Amino acid sequence: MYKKILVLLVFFALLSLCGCWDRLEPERRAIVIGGGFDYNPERELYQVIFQIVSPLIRQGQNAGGNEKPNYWTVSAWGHSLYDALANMSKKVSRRISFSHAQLYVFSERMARTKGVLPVVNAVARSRESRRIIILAVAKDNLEQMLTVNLPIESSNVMGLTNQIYLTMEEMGGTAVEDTRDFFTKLVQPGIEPHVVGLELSDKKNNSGEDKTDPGIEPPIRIIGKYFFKDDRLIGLLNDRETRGSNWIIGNVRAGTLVVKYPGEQDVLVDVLISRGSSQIKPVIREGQPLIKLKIKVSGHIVNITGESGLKEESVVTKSLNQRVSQVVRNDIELALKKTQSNQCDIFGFGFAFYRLMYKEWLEMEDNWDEIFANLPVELTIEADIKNMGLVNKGPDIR
Amino acid sequence: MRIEKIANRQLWFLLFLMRSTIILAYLPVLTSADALQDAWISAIVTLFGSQIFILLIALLATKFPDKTIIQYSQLLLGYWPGKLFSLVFLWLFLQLSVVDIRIYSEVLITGFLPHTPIIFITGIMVFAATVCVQQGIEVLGRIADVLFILFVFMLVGVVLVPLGEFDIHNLQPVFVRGWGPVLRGALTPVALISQAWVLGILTPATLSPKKVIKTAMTAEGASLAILILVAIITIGVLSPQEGARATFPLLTLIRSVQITYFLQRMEVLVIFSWGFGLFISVSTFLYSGAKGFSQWLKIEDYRILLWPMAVIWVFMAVGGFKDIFALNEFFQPAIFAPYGLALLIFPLALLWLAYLLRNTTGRSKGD
Repeated sequence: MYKKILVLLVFFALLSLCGCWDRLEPERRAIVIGGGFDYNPERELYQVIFQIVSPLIRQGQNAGGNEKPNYWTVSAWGHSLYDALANMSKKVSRRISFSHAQLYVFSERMARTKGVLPVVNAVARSRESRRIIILAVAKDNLEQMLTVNLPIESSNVMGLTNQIYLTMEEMGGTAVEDTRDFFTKLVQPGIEPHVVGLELSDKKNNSGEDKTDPGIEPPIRIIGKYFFKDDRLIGLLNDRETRGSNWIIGNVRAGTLVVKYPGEQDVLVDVLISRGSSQIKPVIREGQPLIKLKIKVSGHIVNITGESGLKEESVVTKSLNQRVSQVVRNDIELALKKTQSNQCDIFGFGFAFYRLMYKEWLEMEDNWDEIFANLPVELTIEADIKNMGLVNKGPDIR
Repeated sequence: MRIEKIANRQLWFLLFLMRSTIILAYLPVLTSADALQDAWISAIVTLFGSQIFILLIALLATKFPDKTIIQYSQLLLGYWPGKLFSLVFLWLFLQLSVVDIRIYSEVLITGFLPHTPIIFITGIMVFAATVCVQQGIEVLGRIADVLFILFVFMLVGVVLVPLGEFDIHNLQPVFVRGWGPVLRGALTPVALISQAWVLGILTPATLSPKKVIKTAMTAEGASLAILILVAIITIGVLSPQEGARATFPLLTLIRSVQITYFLQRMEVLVIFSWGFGLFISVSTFLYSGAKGFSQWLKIEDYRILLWPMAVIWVFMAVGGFKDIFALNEFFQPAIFAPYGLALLIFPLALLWLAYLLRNTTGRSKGD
C-alpha cells in the first residue's frame, strides 16, 4: 500500500515538475540581439532602439524572395531606460528578453552629453544582459544604422558584430571592447575607456576614392575608435590613429602595411603583420615621469608590385624592416598627439605607474591628465619581416 | 540503537564542501572589506588564521572521541553551566545554515527566478536536506562522496573557463597599502570558521576520531587553496573594483566571459556546484543541530526533532533577514567579525581552560 501511494506521488510530481515557476516559453519572448541608445539633452529623454529577431523566418526561406525582414527594429522614448522600455512594451506583443544581446550602439550625442553609464550600469545590474555585450558609438543617424540592410547579412546587428570583430582581427583597425573591458578601464586608475566608432556611409556625402564601390556599397563603415573620459565621449581616433593606439597597447594581431621598396621608385611592398606586442615601462628620470615603450612587430611579405625581389639577409631587408618600423612609429605618434592634446590616457600609462610605481603615482594621481598631456614617450620599435611567400623574387621579364 | 559511523574521508568531503560553498557564494575576502587587488593575500592570511582555530577545535574534539560537544561541555563545565553553554553551539548551527540558505535563495531570485516566492525555494532546499538527514549520517556521508566528484569537476570548469580573459595587471600593485586592508579582508572569512564547531558533533560519528585533526586541517587547507585561486581569477578577470562591487562575484565572473561564441552562459557550473555544496552544508548543520539538541534534551533518537527543526530553519531563513541589504549588513566585518570571532574564541577559551584545569587539578584528586 505504502509503495503504491509512493508511486502515485511520483506521477503527480511529474505533473508539477514540467517547468520552473518563472518559465517563459520561447514563443512568448521577443529576443533582442542588439540595441541602440540615444539621449535628447533638451527634453531630457532617453531613446531605446532594440532589434528583435523575427521568429517567423525559417532558415532558407529568405532565398525565395521573401519580403519580410528577419528582424524588427522598434524604438521608444522615456525619462529613464526602464521607462522607455515600459513604453516599448506597449508596442511589442511579447516579453522583451535581453539575454542574447550582442551589441549596444550609443549615439554620439548621448555619449557626449549624458555618458554611457546609465546603460552599461543597467547591463551590470541586470540578470539578463551580460558583460559580453560589445559597445559601439554611432557617429550619425542611429535609427537608420540599425534598420539599414547589410549586404549578405540576414540581420544587421549580427553583421555589424562580425564586422567589428573582423576589422579587429584582420587589421587592428578598431577596438572590440565589451562591457567588462569598459568597466575595467572605467574603474582602474590611470586608464580611460575607448569603444569602436561606426558611421553610416552615405553615397551623397562621399567623395574621392570612397565613392567607387561597385554595386551596393557597404552601408556601415568602421571609422576608428572613440575615446572617453570616465563615461563621457570626448573624441575620435581615425583609422591610422586607431592603429597607432592599438600598437601601443599591443592589440594589433594582423594588418597590412604598405612600404616603398628600397632603392626603386614606384615599387611597393605589402607587408602583412602577423604579430605585434608592446611593453609599457614607467620610468622616473630626474624627477620627471617618462614612458619607455617597446614594440615588436613581425610580419611577412605578401606582394611586391614590381620585378624586384629579395632572398637573403641584405641591406634591402634591413632597410625594409626599418621602413616598417617607421610606418608603425608614424601611426603611434599620430595617436599620441591626438590623445595627449585631449588629455585622455587610453593607453594606461598612468595605470602602469599605478601598478609598478605606486608611491610616485600617489603624487601624480590628482593631476595625471596634465602630466599625460606632456608625458615624453621613448619609442623603441623592432620590426622583423619573417618570410616572403612562395616565390623569392620577381619574374625575369624578357 | 545501531551506531552510525562515517569514514574520515567522508568527513573530509563534508568539511570541504561546507567551507568551499560559502566562499564561492560570497568571496568574502573581496566583497566584505577594502582588500581589492590584495584579496588573495587576505585569503592566505585566512588560511593560516583558520588553521589555528581548526587545530584547537579538532584537538579538543579528539580528547573526547566518544562524546559530542554537548556532552563534554557538560562534563567540563558542570551539568547546568555546560547545558546553558552548549546552547551557543546549537544557535550557531542554526544561524550559519540559515545564512547559507538565505544567500543561495537570494542568488536564485536575483539571477534566475525573480518571481518565485523565497519561501518556496528555501522550503524545497530544507526539505531535501531533512529527508537526507532522516536517513542518517551514513547516507549524508555517501552523498558527499558522490557530490564531491561533481563539485570538483564543476569547480575546475569555473576556474578554467575565465582563464582566457585573465589579466595579471589587475592584480598589481601588490601589497602597497600595508596590512590594514589585507587583515580587514581576512576578518569575515576567518570568523566564518565558526562553522568548524560541527566537528564537535561529527567527531564521535567518525570511524577513527583520533585522526580528525588531520582530516579537518587538510580539508580546510584544500578549500582555502581554492579560495586563493578563485580570488586571483576573479580579480584578474573582473578587475578588483568590479569584483568587490558584485553582489555575487563568482556569478558575475562567469557571466562576463565567453570562450567562443558557442561556449558562453556557463553559469550552470557555478549554480550547480554551489547548490550541491549548499545541500551538503545544510544537511550537516541540520544533523549537527538535531543531534546536539536531542542530546541536550536526552532523547534517544534525533529524528523526531528533525521535522519541527526543519520548519524553524525555513522560517528563520525567510524571516531572519528582511532583504539582501540586511544580509550584506550582517556580513560587514564590523558586525560579523566580532560576532563570529566571539563565538569562536570565547567557547574555545572556556572549554580549553576547563579542560586544562580539570587535567591538572583533577589528577591530584585522584579522579
